[in-house]
Amino acid sequence: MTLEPNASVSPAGAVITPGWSDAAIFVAERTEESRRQLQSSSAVGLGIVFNELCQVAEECEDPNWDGFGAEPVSMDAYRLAYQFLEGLPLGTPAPSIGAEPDGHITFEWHRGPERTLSVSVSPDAQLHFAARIRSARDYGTRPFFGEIPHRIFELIQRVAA
Amino acid sequence: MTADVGSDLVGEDELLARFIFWHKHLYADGTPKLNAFMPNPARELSMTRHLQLTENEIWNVGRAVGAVSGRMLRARADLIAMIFFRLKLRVVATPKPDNPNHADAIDWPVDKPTQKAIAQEIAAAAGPALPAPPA
Repeated sequence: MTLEPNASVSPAGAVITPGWSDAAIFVAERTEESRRQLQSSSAVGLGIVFNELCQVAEECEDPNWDGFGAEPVSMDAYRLAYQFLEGLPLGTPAPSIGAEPDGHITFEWHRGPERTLSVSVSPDAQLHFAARIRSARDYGTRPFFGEIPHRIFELIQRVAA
Repeated sequence: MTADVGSDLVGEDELLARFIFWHKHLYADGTPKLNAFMPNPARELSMTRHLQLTENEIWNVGRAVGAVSGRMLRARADLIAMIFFRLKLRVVATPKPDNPNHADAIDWPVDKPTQKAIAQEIAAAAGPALPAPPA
């Protein structure tokens, strides 16, 4: 299957092909609303991770939160990181949350130094990622439009497999 | 950064300590995350050369660094300077009044994903961090 460079993944893992009729938009909105409710629940989704995200944003809201001159995590970075979490398909393994000295929020899927993926969410809606999976290295940047870019989702699956 | 720092280069076989103050820079098993090795906004990674310092003196330097910003020292990761040179970074001595053994890893690329990939390699090479002993 060939994907567009900016292809994204639906909550079920399928490539998204949006409809444009009123009915299609209505169904899509209701589906998305239900999915978000499920994703933010602790039982089915990533509820605990949303709490961790909030905690990170609070701990890093002031400059120099790392003791080495880090920039604060901005509200824009927090908002986009929240959207990133919401966009993860149901059943995605929970990432651990962190922050970087430039104020980006990070999501990490880590199963050891040879199976690890880090994704940074910048306040200008860029996703910077780096993965180390056995001898393979993969890193780059994808724009974030509210849905998880296919390449990043693929890397999450490979690390978690 | 391409400053002329030839004479200030740290030896490849020197040991360097990276102090860790934030709990989320460590995994539950005590290994440091790549975030602990990301450069600051000036594209420098601050470290302390072991040189002739005793274990206790190294920890005291870390505590003093943390005291400046009111942060508790959690751990430290020890790395050999060669790791940085292999990743096309340089480590230069940048002594400070309160830390004459201070050094920075410089020459970080501007490109953010490349920075992350480099930090990931450093984290993999670092192994488990040493937990800070009680003061």
